[in-house]
Amino acid sequence: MTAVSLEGVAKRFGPVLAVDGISLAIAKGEFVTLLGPSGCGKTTTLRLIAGFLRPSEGRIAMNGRHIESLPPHRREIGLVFQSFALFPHMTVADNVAFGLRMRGVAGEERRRRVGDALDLVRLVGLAESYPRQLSGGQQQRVALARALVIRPQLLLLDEPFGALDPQLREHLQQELKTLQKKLKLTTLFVTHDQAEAMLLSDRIAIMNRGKLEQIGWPKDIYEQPRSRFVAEFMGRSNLLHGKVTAIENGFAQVEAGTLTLEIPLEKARTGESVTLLIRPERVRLRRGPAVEGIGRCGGVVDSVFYLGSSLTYKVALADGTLLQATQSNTGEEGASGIEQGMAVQVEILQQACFSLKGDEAG
Amino acid sequence: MLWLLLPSATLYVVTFVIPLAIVIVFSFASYRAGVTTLGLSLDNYRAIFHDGVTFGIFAHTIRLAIVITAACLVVGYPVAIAMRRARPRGRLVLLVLIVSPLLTSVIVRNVAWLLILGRTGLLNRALLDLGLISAPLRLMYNDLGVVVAVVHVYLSFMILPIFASLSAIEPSIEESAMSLGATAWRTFLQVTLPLSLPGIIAGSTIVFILAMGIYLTPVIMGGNFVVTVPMVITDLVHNQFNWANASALAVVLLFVIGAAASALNALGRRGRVPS
Amino acid sequence: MMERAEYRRGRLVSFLTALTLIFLVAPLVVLLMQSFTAESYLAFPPASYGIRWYRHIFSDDEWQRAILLSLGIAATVTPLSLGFGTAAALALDRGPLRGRRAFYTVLISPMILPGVVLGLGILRVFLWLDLTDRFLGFALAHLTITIPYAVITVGASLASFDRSAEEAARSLGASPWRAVWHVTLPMIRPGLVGGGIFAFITSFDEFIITYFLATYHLTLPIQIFNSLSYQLDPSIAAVSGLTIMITALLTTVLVFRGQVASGGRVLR
Repeated sequence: MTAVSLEGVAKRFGPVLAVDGISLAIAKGEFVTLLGPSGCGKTTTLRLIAGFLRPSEGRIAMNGRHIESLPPHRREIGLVFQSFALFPHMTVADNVAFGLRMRGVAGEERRRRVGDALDLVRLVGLAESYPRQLSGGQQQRVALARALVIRPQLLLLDEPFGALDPQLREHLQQELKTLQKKLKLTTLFVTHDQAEAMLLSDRIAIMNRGKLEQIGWPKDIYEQPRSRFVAEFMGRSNLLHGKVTAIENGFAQVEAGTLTLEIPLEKARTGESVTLLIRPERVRLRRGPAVEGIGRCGGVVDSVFYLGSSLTYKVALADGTLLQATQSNTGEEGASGIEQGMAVQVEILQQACFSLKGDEAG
Repeated sequence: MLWLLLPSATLYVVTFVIPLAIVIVFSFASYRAGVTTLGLSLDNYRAIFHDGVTFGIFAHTIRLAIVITAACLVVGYPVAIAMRRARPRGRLVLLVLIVSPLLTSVIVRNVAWLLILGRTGLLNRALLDLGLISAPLRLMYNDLGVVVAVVHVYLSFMILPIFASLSAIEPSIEESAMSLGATAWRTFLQVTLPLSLPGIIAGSTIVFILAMGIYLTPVIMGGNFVVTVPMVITDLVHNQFNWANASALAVVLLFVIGAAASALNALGRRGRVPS
Repeated sequence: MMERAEYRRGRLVSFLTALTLIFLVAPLVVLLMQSFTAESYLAFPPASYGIRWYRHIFSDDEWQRAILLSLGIAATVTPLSLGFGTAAALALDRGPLRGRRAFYTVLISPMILPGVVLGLGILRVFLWLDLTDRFLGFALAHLTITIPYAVITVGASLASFDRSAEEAARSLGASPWRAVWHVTLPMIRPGLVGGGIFAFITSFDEFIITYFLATYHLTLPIQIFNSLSYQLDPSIAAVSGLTIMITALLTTVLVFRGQVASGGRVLR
């Protein structure tokens, strides 16, 4: 059951095309994140759905009804801003009650629903305080309660945790996820933080320069990015350029400098250029003499970065290529003990790398 | 949304636009023996430029306005600096002290100056008692009294824009200059002062325009010895019903103000630091 | 070496500033003191103090009439100028960018142009409309010169106003008007208070345009002006003192309420 759908939505500001033909369908109860760098059009898209902007082209529908021409106060949407946007001249209770007030809900029912909403975000006892007396995390909870109390069809969040400390942010992320699952609330979340997107979303939609680059499950986007942009946005990657030297049973042998790799590749032709993407966590390092082979070669450790829970190594291969390798800090023999300047065995699993099509490889 | 402008617009048509238009129309009228007849005559304008007395009054009014503006600039600039340097508490106190005279009426302030600058006023009595002078100084009924009182009235209009301009200068700019070897004085002359030019221009424009329109202060503080154009205009209408000459004077007054404002604006733009 | 120059310059500036502040405030203090004289003539410092002259002006018919007229006009004009001015400021803030500058300049022009010119024109028009020497005429004229203050102060508040609170209200079901009424206006209260106080004081103190329009109904400034020629006694000082006290009170409210409500942002 599609709760929200965008069809070919575009938005022009003078000569600038901020949103360029976005089509997206969000299912009821689904948590979708619009992810992308600043200026990619994700906030504009959110504001189009909220009703503060009218699309230059395309249609927006909610539960089957077209809403492009509906003003914001008639779309049943809850909004949470990064700046909290609480009403400073009203108490917490009045802030939360505002939406109910606008809908003519009064008296006992209003009081009850406000109380329930505050319970939901775990803010009991602060009803009569003013926003300026609350911490950032508390204020954001009030903003959330205010949006939830009206029982919206859709919850829109615009980088809501951006202004908070990392620990607090993590905490609220977990709370939001729990809440959303419990209420089965259709949610659209906007952020530029890829880790946040992965943590929270059922599906992620990556945007770049007004266009939708890829949409899918976090795992698919991370492991099967369809473009270099998506690959590099979702995490660190090693990019190797090579040539197809042989094809056999849907697998291609690619020579990329010192490394020879075998990867699953359909529709490849011998001699074709490919760009391979290898995530650092799939590059294994082992102390000891180097053994050459498919997906194996020797290298010298150029630098080591100790990050606490993990270690990142930069390894120089014979042809000068610098590979990044990341390993969890488990304290085991294999990983620890690798120091700068050491000669190591580099091993890349067959399933660990995949190719970007020539034109997308940049 | 724009229809929200309608109430003000409607009012302004009746109390601003039409009156100004009327003034322009009447400036071309003729006046003879207490009766003003509409027409298309340039006599009133000719009279202003050819009648020595009227022209002299005009020149005198402009001279006064320039002196007042210059005085406000010199006196007000240090205060703006002090405001910028002060901590928030001190700044608040300064602001109250500077703004409150703004809000007492001109006539009240003139009464106060009467008490201070008059022959038997506070200043003269104090100087006489201290033996610093043997006869009371003529501090009133001349240009000096008028300038002092008008500066008192309009000083705040100079201080606030300059303060705003100074506040917009990042301290790190001045600090860079000093670290590069400029003394505090040179930093002020070469960095701070030029960067505060927008405020100086804004303040000077406001004060000049206001100073060209003074009526009460020259009447009270200047007696019959200081005559300004607004005084002539008022007298022409109240006592002679001479709308024609009064309107012509008003139009020329507006012209002078407009010219000065444009000139100051151009000066500001020429000296503007590209940001 | 530089530090010493800084220090010297700092002292110079402080000294000059102190002088200037004395210059600004002393005359008013003198007048205030003078108004509490118990003597029957103007002489500073007063030989004896009392509230005799305040009692006089409150029992004198002419002064009473003038005070009430001025207060009445100001009280009428202030809410109206706030209404007109806020509407105009909203229109400019939310409206199209083109022509905004021009409209704004026109809106604040009555404040900038010499009162003499305005008085001349308004008198001529009001003679035709039979609005001279009448409350309505005074009010309309005062309204014209007070609206600019509301436009400026409310406009400044709107310019620095974070719209997300208003958008939040709209997303919660408030129509644009209800959002402005319930959220925006309360949040820009400092601008409204400031504009209101400026408007009140401007109207209360207005002289030249009212002078053109009035014949028998005299406002307080005009009454004071007339008294200067024929009745130079301490009642002038008392009336002036009254004006100073009213405006001093309003100024304190203006600066402190504005400061507190905006969180001291302006002066920080």
